[in-house]
Amino acid sequence: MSLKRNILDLRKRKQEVQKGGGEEAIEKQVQMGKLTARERILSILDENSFHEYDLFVEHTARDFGMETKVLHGDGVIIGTGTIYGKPVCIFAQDFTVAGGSLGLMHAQKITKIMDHSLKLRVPLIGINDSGGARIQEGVNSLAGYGEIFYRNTLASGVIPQISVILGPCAGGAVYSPALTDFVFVVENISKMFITGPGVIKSVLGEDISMEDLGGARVHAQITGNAHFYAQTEKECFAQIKKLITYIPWNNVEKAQVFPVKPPKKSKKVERIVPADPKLPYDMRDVIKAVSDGSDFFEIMEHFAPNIIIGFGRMEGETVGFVANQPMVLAGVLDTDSSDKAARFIRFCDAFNIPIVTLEDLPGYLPGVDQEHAGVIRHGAKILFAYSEATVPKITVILRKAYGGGYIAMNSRHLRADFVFAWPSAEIAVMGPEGAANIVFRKEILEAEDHEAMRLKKIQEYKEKFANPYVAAAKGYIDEVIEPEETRQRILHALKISKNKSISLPRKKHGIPPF
Amino acid sequence: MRNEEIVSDSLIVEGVKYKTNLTDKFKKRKLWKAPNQNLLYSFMPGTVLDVLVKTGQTVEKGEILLIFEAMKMQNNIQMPFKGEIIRIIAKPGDSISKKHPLMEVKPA
Repeated sequence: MSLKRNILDLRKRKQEVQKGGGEEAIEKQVQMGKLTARERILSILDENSFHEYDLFVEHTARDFGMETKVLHGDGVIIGTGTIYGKPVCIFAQDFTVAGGSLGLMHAQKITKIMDHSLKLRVPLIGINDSGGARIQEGVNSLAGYGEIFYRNTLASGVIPQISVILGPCAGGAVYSPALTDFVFVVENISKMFITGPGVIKSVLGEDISMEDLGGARVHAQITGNAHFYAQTEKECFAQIKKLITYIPWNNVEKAQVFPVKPPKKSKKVERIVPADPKLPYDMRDVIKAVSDGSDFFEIMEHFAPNIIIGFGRMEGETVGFVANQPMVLAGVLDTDSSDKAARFIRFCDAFNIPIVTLEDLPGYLPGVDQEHAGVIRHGAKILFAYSEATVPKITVILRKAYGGGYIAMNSRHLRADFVFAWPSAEIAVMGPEGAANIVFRKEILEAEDHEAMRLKKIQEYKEKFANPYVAAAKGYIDEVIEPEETRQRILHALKISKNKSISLPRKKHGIPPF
Repeated sequence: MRNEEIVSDSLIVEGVKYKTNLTDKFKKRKLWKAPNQNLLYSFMPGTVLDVLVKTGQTVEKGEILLIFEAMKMQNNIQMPFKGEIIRIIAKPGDSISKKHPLMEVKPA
């Protein structure tokens, strides 16, 4: 007797469970402009590479009539597969099954795949699309979330963790993405908030739509919870696959090396930056003038645009860029930009990605709102992140580098390995205008024509201090270079830093200004 | 494209005016106004349960002025300094939003 009957029975069972919440629920999903969980997994992974686990897991809830409810896969799909041939672990919540709500077994499936990704040392991709905790399962839902958050934390810095918000992610559930390294959101589909509009309306009387409260744009622009923003799910998947090519598979490996492509000839770095330090330019043009193929994969493009972070390649290897953006808020550092840069620096440091810093900033953003928002505490994060980073760190000072900003943007003092400066660099404790007012205060007050004396003293200060040579004379910068030499200098510095090895004082961990 | 064309605003940092773009967040920021020390504001939305003082009454520092229910807790709003009750704005039963004036007082 052959096993044919068993095999046919298996196929029938699989087909039944793979229907998820059924035709009607799937139709609703489609009408909301959303793909189904299984479609999403298959779109991200290589063709025919997906293997599903725990398909037949069933919930164990017995209260509130749950005994009679059949929830296929308990609302989540887990498995492994490959992206560009390299293995990943993935889970996708299934909104068609009980609204993708999380119960004990649902959480158990997720924690199983999380445990796999940590011990197998491969990236974890989590697609969130859930109404939240399954109320009927009470504290079991809470336990489920807790177990997930703990694993997110333990895996942090060991394997890259990616969260894709393709539906509601509310209440406690939203902490899992917050703990992961990269969060992807899609316009009109992603919704993240702790307290929803309904509760906010009844308790606070504030009337706000779900989209305005925690939609994709809000998180991409205002809260900084999202790292990548797309208009469609398809665009989002393309972003995920692109990100994967830049990052290593775990913290003891390096990212994949690609063939070297020189920057596109059209971007001559000298012509991009104006001589007058008060005039702006797009710093991204400088990055593209220097990176392989002029390719730059920007992260958190819409949040704190006064600083730029993202991945590029230098001689085929992934490099993390951190750069001030003079085109927005004069490239100052503030609470948001400090947070944005500090977390990115930590990711690069955790995953063996060298950091290249391009500097041109006049200082910190002034204002009572900034001071009261804790620019001190937030600004300190970037100092902490750069100081603790042991990956190769290279800095190029293009123009202004005043005061605290000079120190914070990966100066030699925070142990940058190589600091280069353009001849236009102004490395000074303060800009000439501000400094002259203080240092030559007496001369200005005693002069007959205050304004003429002030301008004279500003010019004096400018010539004496607003240049790279004072810092160069002290060895605070390594070399003053011509702009056209920038790419070659960075390449050489990266090449000889390949085996960099330094150790920090032994400790359990530092205490960054959280 | 000349650089001046790509930006529309300016920002003054340490006495220097830089031509640059401003973010929406920056433009929408609340400019600081010195708070009126004699007005007691709610710290969170809630309901006034009970008002324990009367206009004109002299009150010691720390005395409870009103009971405010917020986030399922009863909060005692205390007198910040020894003084007089000038005006009672909130009444028992009032539903109050955040930073809403509850009472006006005057130091002794």
